[in-house]
Amino acid sequence: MSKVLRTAIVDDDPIVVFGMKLMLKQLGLNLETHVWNNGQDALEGLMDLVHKEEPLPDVLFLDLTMPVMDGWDFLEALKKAPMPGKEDIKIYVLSSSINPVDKERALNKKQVADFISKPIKEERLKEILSLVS
Amino acid sequence: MVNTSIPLYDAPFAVAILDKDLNFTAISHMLARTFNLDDSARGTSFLDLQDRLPRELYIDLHLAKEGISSKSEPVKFIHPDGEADWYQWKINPLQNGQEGKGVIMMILEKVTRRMLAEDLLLRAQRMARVGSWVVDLKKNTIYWSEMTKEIHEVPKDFVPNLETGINFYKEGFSRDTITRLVNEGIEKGTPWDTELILVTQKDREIWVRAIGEPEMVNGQCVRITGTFQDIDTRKRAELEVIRIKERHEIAANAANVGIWDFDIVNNTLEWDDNMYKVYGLPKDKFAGVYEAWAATVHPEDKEWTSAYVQETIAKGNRLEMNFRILTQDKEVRWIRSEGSVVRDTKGNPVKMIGANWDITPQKNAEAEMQSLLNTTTYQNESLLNFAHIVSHNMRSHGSNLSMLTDFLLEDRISEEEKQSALQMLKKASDGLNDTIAHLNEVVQIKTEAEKKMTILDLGDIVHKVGQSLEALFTSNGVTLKIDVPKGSLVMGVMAYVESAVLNLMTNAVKYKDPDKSAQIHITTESRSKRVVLHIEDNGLGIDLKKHGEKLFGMYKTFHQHAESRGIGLFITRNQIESMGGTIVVSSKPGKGSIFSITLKKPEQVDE
Repeated sequence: MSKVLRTAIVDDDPIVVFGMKLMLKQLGLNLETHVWNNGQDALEGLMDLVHKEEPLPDVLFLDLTMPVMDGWDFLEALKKAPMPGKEDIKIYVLSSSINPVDKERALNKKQVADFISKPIKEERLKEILSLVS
Repeated sequence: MVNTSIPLYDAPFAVAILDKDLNFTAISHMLARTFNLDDSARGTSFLDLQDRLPRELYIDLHLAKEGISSKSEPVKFIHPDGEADWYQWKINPLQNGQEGKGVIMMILEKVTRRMLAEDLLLRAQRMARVGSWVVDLKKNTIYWSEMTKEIHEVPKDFVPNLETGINFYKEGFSRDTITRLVNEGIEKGTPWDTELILVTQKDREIWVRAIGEPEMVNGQCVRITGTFQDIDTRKRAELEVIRIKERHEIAANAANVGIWDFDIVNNTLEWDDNMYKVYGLPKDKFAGVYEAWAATVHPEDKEWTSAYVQETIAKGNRLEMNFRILTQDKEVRWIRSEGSVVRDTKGNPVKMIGANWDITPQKNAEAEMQSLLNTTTYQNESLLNFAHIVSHNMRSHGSNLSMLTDFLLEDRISEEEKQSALQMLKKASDGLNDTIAHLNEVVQIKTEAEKKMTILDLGDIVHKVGQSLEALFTSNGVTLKIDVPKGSLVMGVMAYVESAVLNLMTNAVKYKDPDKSAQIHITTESRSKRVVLHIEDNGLGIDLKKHGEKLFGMYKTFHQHAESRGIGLFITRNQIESMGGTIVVSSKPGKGSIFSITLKKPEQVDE
């Protein structure tokens, strides 16, 4: 049995979540995927994993535009959160925005591994996962 | 000749009798005192005083022994310490046998004090360039002092007469004036003191102060004495000052600049006529003290202007400020003030002098420009933001559609997944339609508002919307209180105002605090050209620090979320702004929110 790859999808759009999950499944990897609908849920979910002493995700796909807590606020909150191992999470911003300001802002954050315009292609997804497997 | 009937000792001047060897045989008290000698001075030789007196005196004394009399002018003697004394003497040889064995009578006066005074006077006259003249009408002569000649730039041996004297005055006003004054002086004895222009021998025009005092004997003028003073430098400076002052006055009047003069020591504040115009204050309403000025300053500018003025007086030199005043008619005016502090030699503030002018028109233009700039900047930002939002929302649906069709075109997914994908596809295409409809709505708001602006009664609208939501309020246990009087008229688009009120009321229901009995209170506030509609609730409230910026923005995608504020407030804001209004919110989490919509009043109800 190969290593378990832990992913997280933080997006409020059920279609995106559906698509991502389907795509991950098609890759046929040994995956464990968390789905959180906004930044607040994601932050609480991650803290929950820490409390239960369960492993944090290897890769986190983060939407920017979400209700309650958006992607930007999530990144800030995560920075401040006392969460051992959070630095090892590879965060990919996955957004419909093609505004260069958003892209630059995301890439300027140390926590962000890359900025990907939706929809993510299967090839790119494979490439990302191969980096952590 | 010495009057021998009185003892020499008591003579009221410094006198001594000396023998042939220049020993004192008699001495007056005054001379003894001058040289600190014993009053009797017997046996003392005058030669003992040689090092304290001019050599010329001893020469004359020796001549006296030969029978020669002498009389000197004041002679200067410089002491070894550099101090100077002047002496004047008269020496007469005596007949043998007079005053004991004495052979020489010497009157010796120390005239230092007189000489110093004369010297000072001369220096002063020279420095002040004062010359004198005398016209003797009986002898028909005229005398000019050296300085008078110098002022006229004539040689020292120049001999003037009355006519040439008058002809030195510049032809025209100066010559006519002096002719008249001299004639009046001769006829009536009237003195004069005037400033006129002379043309010197060297053809130079100079200002002089001419003073003349006729002396009358039996009603007839016998003599006129007078002085001349060269006042050219002073007069030209004075004229220049007057010229500059006049020029400033012309400029000040033209520019409506008021001049003020504040005597710091006595707290008196003088204003020129323009100041009253600038401040819109009648003269009798201004008390002429600092506090009277301070009272005119706009309440919001009082504190800092006063502090700044005091600080400038204490430490500064230049005063420069723009501030507002309230005129008697409660009109706000912007004033520019510039001034300088005058200090005495010790650096203490004595006076402050400056100018004020009205800069209200510039300030208004500036404000208008800024407002225009703000509007343009805001509109540009809003347009750019809108473009990004449109692109984001369209792309988000587009990318979903593309992703789903990719799945459907592939064979790798199960039948069940295919069905789900198809349902998702339907959802995505509906979402796209909604987005397009919303965008269309926003675009329409932006382009069509002006066409439908009419006079609306806020009272009617609020009551109507309130009634339409009655069922919603009842089912949610919400109490609605409306304090909007009928006749609260505004300019607006009926559909937009209705939609805004409806949206804000339903939001208040949606975000009510489950732990409280929900209340909505609607009030209006009338301002000079606008009406403000407040919609207040006691619901959950909003953390404005966190969400303030985004509240009225279209930051939310058009996804259907029960808790989302989404497009609603964005559309409301666009509707309000398209009518030239504004919408703001004040809120505290846990306390509730107040949304305030400001709309223009119709022009005919301007207050």
